[in-house]
Amino acid sequence: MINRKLSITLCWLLLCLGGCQFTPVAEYDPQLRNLLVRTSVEVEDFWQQMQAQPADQRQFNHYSQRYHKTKLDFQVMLKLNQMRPNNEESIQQTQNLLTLWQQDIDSHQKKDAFKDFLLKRRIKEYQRVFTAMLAAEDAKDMK
Amino acid sequence: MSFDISSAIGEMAGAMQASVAEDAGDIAQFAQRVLMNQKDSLAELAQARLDGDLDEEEFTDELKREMLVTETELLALTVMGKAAIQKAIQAATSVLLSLVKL
Repeated sequence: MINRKLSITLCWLLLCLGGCQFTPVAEYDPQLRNLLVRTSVEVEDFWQQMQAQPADQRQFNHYSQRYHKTKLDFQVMLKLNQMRPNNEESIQQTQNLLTLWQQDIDSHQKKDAFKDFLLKRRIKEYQRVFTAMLAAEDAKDMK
Repeated sequence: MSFDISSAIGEMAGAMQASVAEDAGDIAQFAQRVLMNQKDSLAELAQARLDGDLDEEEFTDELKREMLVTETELLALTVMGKAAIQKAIQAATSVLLSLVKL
């Protein structure tokens, strides 16, 4: 009985000590969540439309506008994330997303083509990134 | 009015345990998914390199991208873990507040 009380007290103390140094997560932002859902659908559609085109018709200029529009959406996400305190992880996630997107823009522009294999990967890759960003945002919802 | 600290600590620990148990399953499931995603992705890349679908430069670029994607997934796990601890602390605090309410 004493051991049980001691272990509970110890656990509580440890958690309290941890709590003293603990940084809370940022507040949940439903506006950001909606933006994440919308852009994830748009990004998947973007790659699927490119995939539907024959490989010799995937020149960069056909896609430059959508690349740019999507990049703006990602920059809005970054701003929304930067506006909240204690939100370092989501800021880093958005910066990673922007890095991946910019790499795709640069590589597509340079090669003026997109391989089937890489298109298949892009669909899965961005799905993973958006799922992770949504999981982080949903975790902040304390209700 | 008396206050039984042992019983209070027991109730607070119980509230924390219940809260953590609720989130632990989701976190473990997500972590498992991250590992599976990375395993599948690396296997696909290795096969593509062996089949000649990717040249060396493309393969290296894809590996670097994979690291960024995995980092993004691990960052989600960090937030999930922090949020679980925060919820547990809130649960315990709420028990304590209800016990000392006049």
